[in-house]
Amino acid sequence: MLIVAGALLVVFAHGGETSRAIWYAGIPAIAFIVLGFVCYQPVDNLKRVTSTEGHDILIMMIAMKDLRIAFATGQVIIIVLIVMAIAQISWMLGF
Amino acid sequence: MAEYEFSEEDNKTFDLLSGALRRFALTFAAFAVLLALMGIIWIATGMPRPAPDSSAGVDASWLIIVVYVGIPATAALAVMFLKPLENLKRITTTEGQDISELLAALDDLNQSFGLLRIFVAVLFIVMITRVAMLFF
Repeated sequence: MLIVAGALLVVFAHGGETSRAIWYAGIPAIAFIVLGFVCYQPVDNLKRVTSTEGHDILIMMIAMKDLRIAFATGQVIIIVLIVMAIAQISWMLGF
Repeated sequence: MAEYEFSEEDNKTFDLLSGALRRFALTFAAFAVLLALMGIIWIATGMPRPAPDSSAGVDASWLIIVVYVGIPATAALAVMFLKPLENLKRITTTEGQDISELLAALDDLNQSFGLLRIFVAVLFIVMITRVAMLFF
């Protein structure tokens, strides 16, 4: 869903054809696509916990490590969105 | 029957996961505060100035969506993602119920991601509408 939302934002940025549209839609588009891919990794491992036998704890721990990477990536992406929000606030205040 | 007890190395993984999750949720909270600030400025100053290139699709309506969908969604997500922290902490600090605590944390995480799914779905619908408006 995140990957598709990112792809839609790419279309949106392309439709804008200006640097401002690329700024507002292009950057979140890349962020969504990256987050989508990063979140998919732990999902795959969690699925394996239920579909395989004998290595549940080991696979669960790998999923936990992947989940940590997903949260760390998510944090970077939100920081990018925070920077964009600060830029928007500056623009609204006329700076 | 005694429950499985995670090793020291596993506990370190859970500690690192807790730290990443806490930072993620707090960053979300900071983002919600910023969006709220944006909303307050918007209300105080009236409609934002139209962008010089308003045909680009970046206009007041985009900001309205960001503020009215963004503020409640990010605030709720920040709170929801803080919920599993207590159970994750108990995995490393208590003994005898590691699996129960892990399952409770995963249940909370599932609820948080469920809310995130709803948020992305709303964003998805908004974007489909906006993309359709670009072409039709």
